[in-house]
Amino acid sequence: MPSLDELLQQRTVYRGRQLAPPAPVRPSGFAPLDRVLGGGLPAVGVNRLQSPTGIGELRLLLPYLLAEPTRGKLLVFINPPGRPYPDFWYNAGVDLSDVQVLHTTDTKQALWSAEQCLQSGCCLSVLLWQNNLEVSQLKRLQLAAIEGGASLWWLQPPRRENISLPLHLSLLLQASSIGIQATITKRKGGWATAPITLDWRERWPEQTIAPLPANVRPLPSKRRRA
Amino acid sequence: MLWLYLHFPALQLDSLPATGQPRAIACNRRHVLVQINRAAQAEGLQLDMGLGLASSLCRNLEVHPYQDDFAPRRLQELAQRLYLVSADIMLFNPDGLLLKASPMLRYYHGLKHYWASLQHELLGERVQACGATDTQPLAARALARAGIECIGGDRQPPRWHALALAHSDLPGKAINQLQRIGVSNLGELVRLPLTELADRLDKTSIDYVQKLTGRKVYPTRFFTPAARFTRYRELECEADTTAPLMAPLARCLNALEDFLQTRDHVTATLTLQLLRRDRPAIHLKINAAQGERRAHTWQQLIELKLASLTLDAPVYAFRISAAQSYPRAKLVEDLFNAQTGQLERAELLSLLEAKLGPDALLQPSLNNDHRPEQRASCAGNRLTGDSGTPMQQRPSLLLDTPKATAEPLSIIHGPERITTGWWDQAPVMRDYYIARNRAGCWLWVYRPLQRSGSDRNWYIHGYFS
Repeated sequence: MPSLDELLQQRTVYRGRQLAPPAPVRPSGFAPLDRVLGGGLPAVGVNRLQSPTGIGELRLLLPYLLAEPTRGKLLVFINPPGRPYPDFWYNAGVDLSDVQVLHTTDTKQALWSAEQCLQSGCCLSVLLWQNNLEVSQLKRLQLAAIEGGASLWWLQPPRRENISLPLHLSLLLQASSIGIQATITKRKGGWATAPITLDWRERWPEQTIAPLPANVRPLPSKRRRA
Repeated sequence: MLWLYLHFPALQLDSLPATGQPRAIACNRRHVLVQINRAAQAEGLQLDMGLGLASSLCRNLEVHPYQDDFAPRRLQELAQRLYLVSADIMLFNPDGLLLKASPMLRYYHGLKHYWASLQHELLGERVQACGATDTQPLAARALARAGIECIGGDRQPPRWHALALAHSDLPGKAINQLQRIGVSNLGELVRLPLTELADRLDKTSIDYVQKLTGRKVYPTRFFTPAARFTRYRELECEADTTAPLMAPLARCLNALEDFLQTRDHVTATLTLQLLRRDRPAIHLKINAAQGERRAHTWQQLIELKLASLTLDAPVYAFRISAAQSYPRAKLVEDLFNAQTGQLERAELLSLLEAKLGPDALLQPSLNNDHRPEQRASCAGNRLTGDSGTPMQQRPSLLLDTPKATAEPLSIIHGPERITTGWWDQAPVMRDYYIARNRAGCWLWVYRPLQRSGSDRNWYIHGYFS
């Protein structure tokens, strides 16, 4: 029977108060999120973003993707819902020659490509748009990500069911008029949290709506006939 | 300059599985034997013998029709094989190869070893060959075609002088004419002054004589190995199951391994085409998870693929090809970063391209155009230096085809009018808005201008993801 100290050394037992995440992190660029996540988003491993398309899920990742000098590592988009618009990424500070987009209709090929990119060691992050992934597939991707020191961000539309999946981090994103609302639904070595609202009014002023003063009431919108 | 000519008297016959029975290849048009094996020779059959006579001499003769397209293809394969031991090879369709021997002698320390390694390769291909050397290409060819195997240095006296005219490439008419004036062999022919010959023979024959003696240089066009691997094999007899395919397939896969090994390449996809009698061919794609070149791995994969296949018509031939091959990934050893399995970026991209096809990979680039489609087009004119200043207020993802929408949107910014492109076939006249839908998604929407037609729908063109 090994003692508790031995188990702790073998990292088979975690202390409840232990906030330091097991994986190395990179600052997310948003202080409230970093505080909860113990320093930032995981730099290595498989993570999930559950989000409708267009509420700012990529803008949430931008500071994280640009956090460290990437030394010409690739940023791979697999089956994005549209092609990356060059002006946006240029303005954000991404070197366009480091962005690679892959389109394939075959799920198997998409996963194969993700695996190859992750374990190649020349990719910083792989963003994979995919409706569903199985546990075995995620485990394979997890191994590939650790081998290549890369992170996979799996973007998925929000789902009701909640099966435990081998993820480092799972975030549920919701739209908010002043920015975005992130809920940690799963975190390795940490706890799920209540929604955290990130205020983007300074960073992305065009994509936020100033809240109306309390004395202004919007007129009820005209109902359209179907 | 020393040349070595290899004559293959029975290319098609050699490609068939070995047999002790008399066997011959017969020409379809003239109905004469063009290639015969040993057993048939022992029965008294000869080349150019009529089919009727042949079958009356030898009752159990097995006759295969001569295929015009087989020999050139086989010759290519042989050249491919010999290319590993000899640099300059010239194809003489349909049954000969000319090798430039003198530059190679330095590497082999003499003709003896050079010839031995050539023979070794030919033995591996299981093909009969007759080799002859001479200082003139056509003289070596005449010797080899006569069946005289003479491998000697460039000092030895030429042996082709005693050859009959029939072994030369002279047209039959010219040979007749020469025989009438008492010229019976090549030595006598070249001893005649050219001016006298010119009165009797036509231009091509004179040309031949000049090249034979070296007075005119023989034009050389050397073989370059094919960039991709492909093999076509006919089965000995039609196969109802896939089992008889495996033996010839294994030989092809060994050839594939050699092909890839010499280039230090691997391939991820093989295409196997099974040609069936009276039915369209079956195309099979065999994919490996990662680049692979070992024959036995491919054989396992093919066996797996074929196991799930039921043949409803007999297969008479197959073709196997590797459409793309790419350099084998090298392992990068980083002293400071203890990560394994590192690939160069180019290697990764070539790997992905090989598996997914070239259309699947896109790289965004700033193009100098105001139309969103052209601006974000990836095929783009990246060479034009000025790409214009990046625009503000642009979505992060652009849809390839705009999506018509009828959902209620609240417009936050806009309009921004883009009216351009009248000079080519894709004019754009649109008002762009940044809008937010009820779910809180930020959309880049547009509405075509009134002038551009009656279409007044709203379209989603991008997401501010």
